[in-house]
Amino acid sequence: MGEKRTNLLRGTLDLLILKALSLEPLHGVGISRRITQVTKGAFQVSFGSLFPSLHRMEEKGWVEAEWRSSENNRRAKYYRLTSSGRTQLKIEERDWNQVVKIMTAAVESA
Amino acid sequence: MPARIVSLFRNLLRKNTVEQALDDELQCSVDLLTEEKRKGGLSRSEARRQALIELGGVEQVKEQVRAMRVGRLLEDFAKDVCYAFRTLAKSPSFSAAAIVTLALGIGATTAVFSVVNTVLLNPLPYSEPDRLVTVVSLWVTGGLRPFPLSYPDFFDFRVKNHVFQNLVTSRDANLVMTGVGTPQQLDGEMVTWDLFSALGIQPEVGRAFLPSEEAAGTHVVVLSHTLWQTQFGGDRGIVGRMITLDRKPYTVVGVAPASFAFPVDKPNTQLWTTIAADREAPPGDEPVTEQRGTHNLRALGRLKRGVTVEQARADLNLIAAALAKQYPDSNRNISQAAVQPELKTVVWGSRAPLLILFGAVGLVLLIACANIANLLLVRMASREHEMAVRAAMGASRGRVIRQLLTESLLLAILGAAAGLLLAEYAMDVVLPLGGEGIPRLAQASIDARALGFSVLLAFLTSVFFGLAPALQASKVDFVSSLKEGGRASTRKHCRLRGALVISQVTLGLVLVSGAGLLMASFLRLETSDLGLRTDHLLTFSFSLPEPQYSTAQEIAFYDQLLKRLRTLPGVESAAGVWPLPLGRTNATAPFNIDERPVATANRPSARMAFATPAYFSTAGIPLLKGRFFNDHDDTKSPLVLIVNRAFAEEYFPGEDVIGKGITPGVTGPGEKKESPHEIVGIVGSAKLVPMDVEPMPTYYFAYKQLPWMPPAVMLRTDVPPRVLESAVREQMAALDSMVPVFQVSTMEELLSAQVSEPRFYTVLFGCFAGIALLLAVVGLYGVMAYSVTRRTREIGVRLALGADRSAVLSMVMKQAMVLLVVGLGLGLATSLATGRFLRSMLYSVSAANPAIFGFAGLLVGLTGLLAAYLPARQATRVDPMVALRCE
Repeated sequence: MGEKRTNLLRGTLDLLILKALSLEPLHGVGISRRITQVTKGAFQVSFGSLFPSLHRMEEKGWVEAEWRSSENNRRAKYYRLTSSGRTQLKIEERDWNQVVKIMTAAVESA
Repeated sequence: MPARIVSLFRNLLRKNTVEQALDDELQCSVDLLTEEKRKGGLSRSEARRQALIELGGVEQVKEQVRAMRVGRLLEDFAKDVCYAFRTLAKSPSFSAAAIVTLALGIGATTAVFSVVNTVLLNPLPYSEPDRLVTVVSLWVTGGLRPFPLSYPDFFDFRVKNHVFQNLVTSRDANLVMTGVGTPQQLDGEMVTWDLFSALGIQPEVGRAFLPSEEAAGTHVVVLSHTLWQTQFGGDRGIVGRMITLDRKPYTVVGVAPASFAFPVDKPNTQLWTTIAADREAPPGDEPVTEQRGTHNLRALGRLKRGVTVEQARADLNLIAAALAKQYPDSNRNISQAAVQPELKTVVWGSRAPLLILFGAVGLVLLIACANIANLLLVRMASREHEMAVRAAMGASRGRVIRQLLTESLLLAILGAAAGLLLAEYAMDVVLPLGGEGIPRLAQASIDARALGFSVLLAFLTSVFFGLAPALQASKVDFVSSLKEGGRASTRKHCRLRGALVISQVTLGLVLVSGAGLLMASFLRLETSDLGLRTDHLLTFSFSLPEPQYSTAQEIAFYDQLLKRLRTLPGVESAAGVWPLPLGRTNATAPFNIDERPVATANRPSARMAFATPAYFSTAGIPLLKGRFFNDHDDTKSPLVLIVNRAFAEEYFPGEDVIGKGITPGVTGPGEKKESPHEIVGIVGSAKLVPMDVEPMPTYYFAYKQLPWMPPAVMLRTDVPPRVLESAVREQMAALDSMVPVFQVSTMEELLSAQVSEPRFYTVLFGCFAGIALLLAVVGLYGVMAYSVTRRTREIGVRLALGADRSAVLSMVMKQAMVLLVVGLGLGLATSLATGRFLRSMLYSVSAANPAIFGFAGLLVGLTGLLAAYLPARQATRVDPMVALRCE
């Protein structure tokens, strides 16, 4: 796997996590499931990438975490978007749309 | 960003809580996943297995999360430092060797840097020192050279220039103070009124001089802080009081602050007075302030804001050119002026040698670094296994390099700390050797800048000696080194180590050759034939106050004194001469050869002196032809001269000079006209300055025919000369208790002070070369010893197969010879190329000196062979059975 592809995926992963959390707070497994669901199974996020990303975003203050009981009464760490997380989401969405536009134009011109 | 800072502190300080939370979170995730799988119908244990697989291993995820955290680098660094401490402590002999080597390198470099910093780099201790410049005349015929100013020229420069805020002048003026304790000679400086304001210095007590205090007849003085404290008890009421200097009343107007030192190269100056005294002259004489032909001043200018040195030079050149037109007799040859930053003037003579010394010590540091790089490479070879294990456990290459560099940095910091202690101690021992020739040397100390420099050195050296071994180690092929028990000898190691040893030998030889040149030069200087006997000679000076002593009385006093001194037990003979040979003064005067006179401006010049009849026999200067002076050579007899052999050969080649006539350009007090003198004797060519390669042409006047002042007294003794000091003082006090004796010194002390500067550089350079040689040889020894250890098995096999022990010896020696010969060859070439940098420091020794370089090469080669022989002999003692079994 080339380095460029990893970077692209890492950026994409951030966007996917932020997007997943924009509707409601979720725990780690929940985020993974939500991403699989919204991408219709195209992305299977490994936990080895998900947790480091989540913790980095927590350190940056984009998400905050709290311990709650889950749907079936298990304790779990739920992540929620902060206001700076929402701003970041908007930025990432805009960037992504731009990349898509540019890439589409580039691919079609060829 | 604040969120990240909070996280940083949490990560570093509350590590356990953070780790616990991570653990909880992952455990919960496993539980959630397990539950999910069980709902899919799996058994409990299978569900859990699947959950763990999907998660990808709890510990692995944890490690990935940890790598993401802020502060990770810092945490790693702290861990590396702890680890480095432990590793260094585990091999104390390696650590000690490395730290001592570094301490020598960094310590020596820091010490020399402190000197360079204090002497060359520190700004002058005055306000806005960048605007201070030196001004002198420029002699323009036969090549440009700086020439002292005359008073009238100085006054013209001062009035007519457009570039200076102040232009001040100064000359040494020693005054005798009486009435306060015993009479004593004080080191004074005669200056123009605005010296203090030009330097931006406020007196501590009282005031500085006023413009009106330059007028003839004013006698005012500013005391140094030290003189004020020691002689006047720091009494603030001193201002306005009268003190007696040269038996004239002077009014104290102020006291300079304790930190004030002017001139910079005479920090012990005790008082400053104005040029008013120079405006006075005995009736019939022209005061020196009116003599355009008398050049004894240098001037210091403070540039107006925004004016450059070049602009100042251009402005003064215009004035100098106009003066040359206006006064062709005195100024034709000085139609230009020299202006340069004052700091440059102050450090002029010390700059080149100090920078050379700094370069030399830098080479020592390089050799030390090479040594440590070598030590580290040896260590790396034995730590290959450790590195392989680290790599196998998932340490990245960068991580391994970082850890190894941390170890190097720790070594360097410990070495720098030890080096600082060493430097501090060494400076106390070495600085006094420098004498007074190097300005500001005594003030050198390890200040903040030197401290910063040594810290910087520690960082640079650690990268320098640590990077190569670290890169090498991180490239370890861990499979093979784990398999072969760390014996996968890397050829590259050997090549790198060989290159390091070669460069050490090269640099070592360059330093040893340089030291050889300096030592040969110093030996020449020490043993050079001065043309006089320096042993058993005591010298001292005194001066008689003018109004009380007329010239005739002065001569009578001098006769009396010599007569008394000759009667002292232990004194063989007593005589007088000015200037004193090997003192710091010399005098030059122009003259005309009577049989072929030339125009005044084109007259030749030679060193001159005046002496009493017994001088030549007292000093041990032989008479070659004619006669010495005698007591009848006074103003009533024909005027006579004695010349030295160099003078005779220079100006009368192949002729008999006895009886030739010469008209010197100097006259006795009260005389207006230059008079012809007859040469009556030729004496041996004594060197008055030891640095002169050849004795300079010199001509001597009889004291009574040129009684400018009482000459310095010289006693030849048959006891150790210092013993007579108190007897001399008693005799002087018996004649006039108000006349102090000063500058009491033996001739050998004078000589020693004269050569203190070259001795300082030679001793330091020699030490550095010694350290360099030691380090280079130790480096070679280390490489050979290591190579023999690595090849024990090979040597065992050779011996078992019947190889001769001498064959083994020569095999090892050959390996060392290759390194040595390449290093020596490169070293010789480099020495020949760089020797010229030393040229300015050498005395009658050529800078490209095959004999000295050959000798240095031999010295380095032989010590190198010895260093190689020890491990080689070790190799021949290998027991094949033991060597083969030691697997």
